[in-house]
Amino acid sequence: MAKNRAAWLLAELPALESAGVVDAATAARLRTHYAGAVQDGGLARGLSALLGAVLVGLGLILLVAHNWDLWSRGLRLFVVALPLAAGQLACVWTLRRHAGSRVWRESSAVFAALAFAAALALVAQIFQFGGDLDRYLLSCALVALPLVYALDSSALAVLAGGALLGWVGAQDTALRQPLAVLLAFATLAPHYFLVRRHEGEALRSAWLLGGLAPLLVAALTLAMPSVERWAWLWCAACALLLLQLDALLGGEASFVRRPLRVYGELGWALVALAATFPEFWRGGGSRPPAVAAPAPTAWALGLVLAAALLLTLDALRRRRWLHAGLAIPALTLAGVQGLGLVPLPTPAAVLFNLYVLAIGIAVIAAGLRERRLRGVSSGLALIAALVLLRFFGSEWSFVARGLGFVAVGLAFLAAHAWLRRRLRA
Amino acid sequence: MSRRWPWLLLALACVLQWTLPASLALRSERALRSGHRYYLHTAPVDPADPFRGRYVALSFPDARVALSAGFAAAPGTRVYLPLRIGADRYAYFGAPAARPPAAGDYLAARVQSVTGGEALLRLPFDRYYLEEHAAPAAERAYRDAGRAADRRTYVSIRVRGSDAVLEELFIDDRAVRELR
Repeated sequence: MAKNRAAWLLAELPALESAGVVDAATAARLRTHYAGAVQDGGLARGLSALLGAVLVGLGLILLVAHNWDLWSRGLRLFVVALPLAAGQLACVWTLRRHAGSRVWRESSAVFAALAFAAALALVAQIFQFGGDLDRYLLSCALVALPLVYALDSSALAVLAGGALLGWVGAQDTALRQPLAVLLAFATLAPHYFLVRRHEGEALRSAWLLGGLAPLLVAALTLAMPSVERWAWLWCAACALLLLQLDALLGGEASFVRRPLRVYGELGWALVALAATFPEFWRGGGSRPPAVAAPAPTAWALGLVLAAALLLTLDALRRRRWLHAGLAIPALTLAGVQGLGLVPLPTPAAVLFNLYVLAIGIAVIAAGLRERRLRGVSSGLALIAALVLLRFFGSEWSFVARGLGFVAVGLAFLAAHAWLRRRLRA
Repeated sequence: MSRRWPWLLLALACVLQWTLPASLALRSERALRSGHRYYLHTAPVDPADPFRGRYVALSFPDARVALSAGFAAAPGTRVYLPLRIGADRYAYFGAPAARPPAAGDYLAARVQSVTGGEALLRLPFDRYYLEEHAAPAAERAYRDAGRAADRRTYVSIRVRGSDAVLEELFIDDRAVRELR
């Protein structure tokens, strides 16, 4: 239902309830059902206001960035200070007059942070500094932090996370430290927990987590020396941790509100499906590297793997067999790359084919049991991906593969239609 | 969060937002007004394509320095370069050290890479900004000045304490800002 119609219906509910047209329970269910539609409309309005503030801010910055070298340095510094003062005044105005407006909070916080970033860059330009990009980005992120909390701005929190990722990327490789990355991102964690405490599983907390989680993983990856030698293990460990964290925190939220699950499933599927090829077990990326992992890489890998396995043990204790079963790729790769076990390529690939098939069937079964079509579709998609890979990986003729594709595709369409009818019955 | 916290945090943000650019500007302005002037040999990073939009990316031949025996400087390390003036009136760098010299002017730089006992340093200035319409005119004048090998290109810098600021870029003794 369109947002304005949903809002109209919600506004009508008290009158309908008092007239006895709907009872209280029905009214409550309608409120819950249409709350999402109204929120999405508010979100669209908020996004357009936020984009407007960002574009106006960037436009002003470009105007100021023009090197007006006919002007004195003092005049140029004064002009540079104007957007900064405007951003701060906007924040004061927001706290005084629009403290309850999410749109005002997000827009003014982002504008003030961009104005500061521009001011710092322009002062460097006026005085001809090359500047160190890493220190510049770290300064921008750290100075944005009080604004994140003062105005409760999640958009700025994600921007600060992006600046932190840029800081790690711009650092000299020898200076990057995973611990420093964790500490830097930890400064944003209280904001997430505050949002989650106040708004539960609302779209904002999902988007915040969905923005920050990949930035943190990317920053950690950049900070780990020689991580490419342990890339599959790192990917498997991160995916497992995200999946287990989602199982712990995800609750009953819908799929789009569970970004950890989305990232986790993608990472898990990437590793598990890659492991269905014998070449995966012959290749260097999944064999024990000739040298020991550098200390920062070793402890970051160990920490993520240990946290993921602890949560897996918790899943076992709670008899969540499917969640516990998702740990197999990470455990196998830890054995191979960490302990130096050398698997036989073909049997390992065959076992992983069976494993992925079993997980796909288990996901479908769980979807049927819980009457969730999305779960069933996920399981079918996993098995379809496995079948597709086997077609690509085999040496069958094009005609045989073509016929096989058509047959399997038709079978899936039929199964999906049957399941849809059954779940909706 | 109580109603006072957002105001306190906003005040902190405002203080930080003014302090950082203001201190940078103040220190640089002081260096430009009262710092000692030095001239450093330089060249555009790419003499065939010197102007990168609104700035000239500069390279300094003297930024490659020999490391003293026993001084191990990893990439990213901050080092201090004593400044000396040669007979040709240009400045050159003394041996990099982990601490600022007890007397005399110096530049703070970061080690970019180390090869065979020599370090390539990243100086606090590596570009010269120009007004965007002035850059093409300056580029034309630069090309008209003759072959790259014949041009005398240098910068003047001002140094005051630990602050060093690039003052002007010269091509054949003419300030680039005047090449219009």
